[in-house]
Amino acid sequence: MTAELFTAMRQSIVDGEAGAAGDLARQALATGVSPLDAIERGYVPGLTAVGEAFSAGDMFLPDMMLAARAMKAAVEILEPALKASGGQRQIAGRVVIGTIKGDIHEIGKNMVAMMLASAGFEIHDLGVDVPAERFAEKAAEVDADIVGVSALLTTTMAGQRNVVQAIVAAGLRSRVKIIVGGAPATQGWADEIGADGYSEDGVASVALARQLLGISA
Amino acid sequence: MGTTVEVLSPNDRAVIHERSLALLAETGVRVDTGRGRALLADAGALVDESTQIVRFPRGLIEESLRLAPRQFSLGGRRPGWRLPMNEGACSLVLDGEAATAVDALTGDRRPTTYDDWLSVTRLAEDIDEVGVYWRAVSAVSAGSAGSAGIPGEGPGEGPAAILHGWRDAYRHFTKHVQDSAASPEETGWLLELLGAVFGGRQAVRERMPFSFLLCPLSPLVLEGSFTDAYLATADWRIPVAVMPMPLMGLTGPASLTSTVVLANSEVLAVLCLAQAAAPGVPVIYAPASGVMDPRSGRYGGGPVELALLGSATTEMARFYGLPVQASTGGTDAHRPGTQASYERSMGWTLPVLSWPDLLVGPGLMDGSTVISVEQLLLDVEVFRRAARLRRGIGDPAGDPASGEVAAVGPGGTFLDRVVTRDAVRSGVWLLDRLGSHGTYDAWRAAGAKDVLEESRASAARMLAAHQDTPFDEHLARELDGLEDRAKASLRGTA
Repeated sequence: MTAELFTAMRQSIVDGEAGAAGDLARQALATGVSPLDAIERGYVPGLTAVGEAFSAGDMFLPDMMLAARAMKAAVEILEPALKASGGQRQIAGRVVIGTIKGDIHEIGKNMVAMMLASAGFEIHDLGVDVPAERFAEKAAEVDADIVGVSALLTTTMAGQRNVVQAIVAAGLRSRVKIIVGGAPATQGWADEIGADGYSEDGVASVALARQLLGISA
Repeated sequence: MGTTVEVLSPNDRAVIHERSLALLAETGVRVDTGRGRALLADAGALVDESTQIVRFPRGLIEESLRLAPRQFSLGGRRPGWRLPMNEGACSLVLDGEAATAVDALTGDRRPTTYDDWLSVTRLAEDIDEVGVYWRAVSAVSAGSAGSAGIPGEGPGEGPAAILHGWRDAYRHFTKHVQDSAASPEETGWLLELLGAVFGGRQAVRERMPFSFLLCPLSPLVLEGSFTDAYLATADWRIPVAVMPMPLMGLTGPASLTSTVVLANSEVLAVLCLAQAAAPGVPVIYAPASGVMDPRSGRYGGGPVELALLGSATTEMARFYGLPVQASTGGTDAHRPGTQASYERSMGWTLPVLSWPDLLVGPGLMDGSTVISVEQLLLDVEVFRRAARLRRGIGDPAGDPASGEVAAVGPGGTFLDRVVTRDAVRSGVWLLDRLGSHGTYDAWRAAGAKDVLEESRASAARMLAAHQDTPFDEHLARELDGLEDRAKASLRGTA
């Protein structure tokens, strides 16, 4: 019975069905299935399958986003019970993320945040038009492992350099990894401004974050 | 007759128009500027201040369309130069804004510099097919630009750096300049500069040396500060090019026609605002609709669907009788070569056959983030070829060579005929500027140059022969003073 439930949970993620994922989460709670088991043995294998299909070119970004949304729907239902039971899902790392000052484009940043959240990272999203100093303040406040800075415009990407400088000025550089992204950003740009990494899309950002924190996939 | 291509039937255009009216009347647009909402409310729009949603009745849209002029000419600093809209011409607009330069031959990449900007701008100044300046290069290399990434001769910040960028544009480009200001404050400096360079507000109103590029934020948002920056030009009759950039599947719905509906609605919303702010102000219909890469979510410059969108843009503008600026991406290739060439050729042929007034833009690759001067010249060559296709096969009823076969008779030649000479001179043949079109031996004897090497050599020759058109000393001093005031304003001492 539980095995069937886990299979259905996996499939709800593969199909990107948030409603079904939520219903199955409620069913798990009603039948006494451990919330942690539901996440780790039910839903996470679905995400893994979607990630593998995406890498093979058999699934596309909308599949990934729908899968992530379904995962979020399930976790939101399971999380209160998980906390109440004293259990805790292992956090891969804490990430402060935002779009740089002067830039109000948020979709790319949101995609990265959602992908990282699905992969088990704790996300602190500062939104858009964020001053460089705010990244440093938030990183200190939540003891972040990673700061992610997005910029869509060539005219605002120069601000990513300011975030690196703000993290240095705040004395956080040795314990915070800085990653940059956005259409004009490149690995060369990341190197030039002293960032730790660059990824070209949300999916690649998960691998990058894991690599920077020494986490095996 | 000229070659024409239509991707939308007359009924398709009417359907897109009606769907747009319904979207604007029922869903509306979020207008993040109080001034804009007040103007639209006065004009007859329905404004919900709690949500900032503005809904547009049919009558308001139709009246605004009636107010927008169909014919006008963009001007520039070059004496006598004008770019007539809606009169059958098509001119290139530079693309923008590359943060990376690539060596066409080695593929080596580096951050762009002021010198890259200068080279591209000087080439564009001397290429007749390019009529409109965009900042093709955003100089991001440390030490070569201000905080805003504006080309300039030294680092700077804030309004002074931006002002210097515009000054530099007019100094090196004497045709039309299209750009944006990000805030009303920046617009103030821009208008002062235009007044100084062109002899005051009335001269600017008549000559139209600047058009304001205004980009709604898809879907259905007019950003506050950016839109206010445009509204601050209201007394100057600055043409506005309205360029929503919905990305099919990401910031636009997942079909080409629905993406056209969205972009069309956003243009109409801004058109209503522009006419409410300054009745009769020229509006250029300029959506740059794109498509998302379904594998990454990135903007793609090379998808072939962009050609369909570029043509649809032109056809919807013609449906309204408005001047049109079409954009069709460019290429996703990282360096000039086979992919860049086939994507550009496919991407431009269809929209050029639809024949917009303005077409964006040559020279950039990699989703409009990478510049190559070699690619710039290659792209102009693609445009020339597509424009030749557009000019068409000719008019059989008015053909100057119609009597030639009878005159030469059986077994003769047409080579020594005056009609033949005149036909070559009049452009019946497109004479290539680049590429190998002679014999193999001649090509070998000339150094067996690849077309990229040839393009590089051509660019070098053009730059060596280029002559600047500097400001006169009096104007240069006046602009120095303006820049000094802008710097002082940043320090809070103005």
